[in-house]
Amino acid sequence: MLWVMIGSVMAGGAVLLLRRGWERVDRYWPLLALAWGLLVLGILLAAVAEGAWGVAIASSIAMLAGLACLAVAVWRAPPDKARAAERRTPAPPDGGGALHPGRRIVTFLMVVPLALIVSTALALTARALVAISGGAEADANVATLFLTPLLWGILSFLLLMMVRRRTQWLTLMATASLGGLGVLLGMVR
Amino acid sequence: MSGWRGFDKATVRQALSAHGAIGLLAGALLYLVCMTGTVVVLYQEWQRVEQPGAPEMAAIAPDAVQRGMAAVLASEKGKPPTTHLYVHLPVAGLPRTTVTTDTQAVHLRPDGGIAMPEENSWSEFLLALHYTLHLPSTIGMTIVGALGAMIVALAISGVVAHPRIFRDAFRLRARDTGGVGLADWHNRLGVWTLPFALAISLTGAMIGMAAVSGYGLAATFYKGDLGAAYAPIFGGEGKPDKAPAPMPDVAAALRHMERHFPDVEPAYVIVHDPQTAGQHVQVSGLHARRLIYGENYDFDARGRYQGKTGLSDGALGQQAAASVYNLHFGNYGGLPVKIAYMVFGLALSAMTATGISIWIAKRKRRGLGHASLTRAWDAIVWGGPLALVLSFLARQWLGNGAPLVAVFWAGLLALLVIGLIWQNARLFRRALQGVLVLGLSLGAVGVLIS
Repeated sequence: MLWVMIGSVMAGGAVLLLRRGWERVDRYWPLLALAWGLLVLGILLAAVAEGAWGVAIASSIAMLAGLACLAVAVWRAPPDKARAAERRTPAPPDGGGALHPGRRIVTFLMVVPLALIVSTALALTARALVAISGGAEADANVATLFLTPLLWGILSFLLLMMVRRRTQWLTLMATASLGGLGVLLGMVR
Repeated sequence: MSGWRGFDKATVRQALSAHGAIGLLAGALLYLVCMTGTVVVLYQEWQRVEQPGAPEMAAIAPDAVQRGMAAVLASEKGKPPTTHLYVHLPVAGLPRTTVTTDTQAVHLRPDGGIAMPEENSWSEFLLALHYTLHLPSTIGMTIVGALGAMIVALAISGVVAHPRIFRDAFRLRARDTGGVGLADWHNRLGVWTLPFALAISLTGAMIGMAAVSGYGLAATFYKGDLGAAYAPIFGGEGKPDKAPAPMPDVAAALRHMERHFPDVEPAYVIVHDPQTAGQHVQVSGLHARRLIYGENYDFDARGRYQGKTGLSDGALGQQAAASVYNLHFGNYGGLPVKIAYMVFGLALSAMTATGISIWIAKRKRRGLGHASLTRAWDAIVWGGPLALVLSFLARQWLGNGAPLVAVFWAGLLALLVIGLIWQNARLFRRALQGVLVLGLSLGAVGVLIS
């Protein structure tokens, strides 16, 4: 417990050092390196002492330190100068009125149901790979439960980052093929 | 330190667009889930607030637990037999002994006698709102789980879309009433809750989407048997045998725990198929300074130890799966961790709220329609907590049987309709905030005098 406390203090202190470092115009790198090093070391110390529980505690302290710094920033924030209404951004060329419902529906279908199906298939592939490589059954099954939402989140983001529809379809098909193979592999075994 | 200079402008622009699209898609539901998640962190404490008169105790003797279980089963004679019987044992967060069967839940006195029925409808309502949005279980959990996956996507796109997000981590122009202030709040809260957001979204998504991934797993590898898919992780159910049998000896099981596992704090006794030949007993024990929700210690009907599931020291996957619940709900470090989770949850809710507000403000600056959107979003942001407070007041004033689900959703819908009719956005927001403060004060007074 003592080492978790020390690790937590180091993680919290590291956030304060980061604040100091980022405040400076010259971005004094030795200070930033020290801050990042202290953060990593603090969390490692907590991890070695109490495992995942220690990491959770030390990380929470670091986040609380960051939020406390924000609270100070709120307290010191100068009063508002510019009125929002004075700043205007030009409207998009189509006036912002064109909804392109067909295009949006296709994007939605790709990013939500299709990407979910593909992600589930990929997660099942991971399960098959863990099992084939001699991993414990529990590890293999938990890999599926964990990877399904993670891969879905990542795949959704990647699809939305693609400008061309063709690239989106190709990505979906490529990942689906990979996932399909994994599912087949699992069924055969 | 002049290596990588960040993503190029086109990538940043596309990431911002992706971030906005996902945020708009998840929007109101995401806010409701974050907001209720913040409140439900105190699930155990809310139960104590709801029923302050229930008997509390630091510990209960094994024989008293045995007597309590026998009394509850005796009270159900002539009714369909319960398939499971749970005894919640007194723990620091909820120092009460409560027996739950398929049809009832009662608190026990320290001597094992039945004290009173459990009345925690608001806590359960709140938990159900967070877990399923009061939709049918599988659909609701999957939707909430999907929102968790969307937070993952939002976190990634948010980091890519804001090249200076870490450099500006402490820069908060909090009192700027224009877009800059809103964006600063959104980005700063986002960066400082990033580890928390990733942890609770992934764990929440894992819990919520277990129906999808679990069924996928069962269909592909276990011939559709969902129980078989989960058995390697959480242990399997025993073989049922419905032939009548005498009462199981849970006192013996608890005594065994005291003698052989003195560092483990029993939190639950679970009797599977009580008073049948297939019955068996599980004791769920808490392990200090661990993220796991507990370890399952298995006993036969006579209270003889059979082994444990392995959640505390088995395969890594078992330990990870058992850690998901506590990591999500902040149940691993007593009240200090719960308070920290409430702070983080509040920040996450504010981030969700400001995300949509930024989008509306951008529309306003572009001269696009925004008035109704602003009021509707205010109805969600301030009306959501207000509807929750109204449900709490309904529980206080009407009792355990108050129609809480109807009060919440009808209240929220009514506020949305009022928001669309009421033309003065500023006055509408002020009115919502004022009534919210009034409701919170009334609720606090009610708690203090109860």
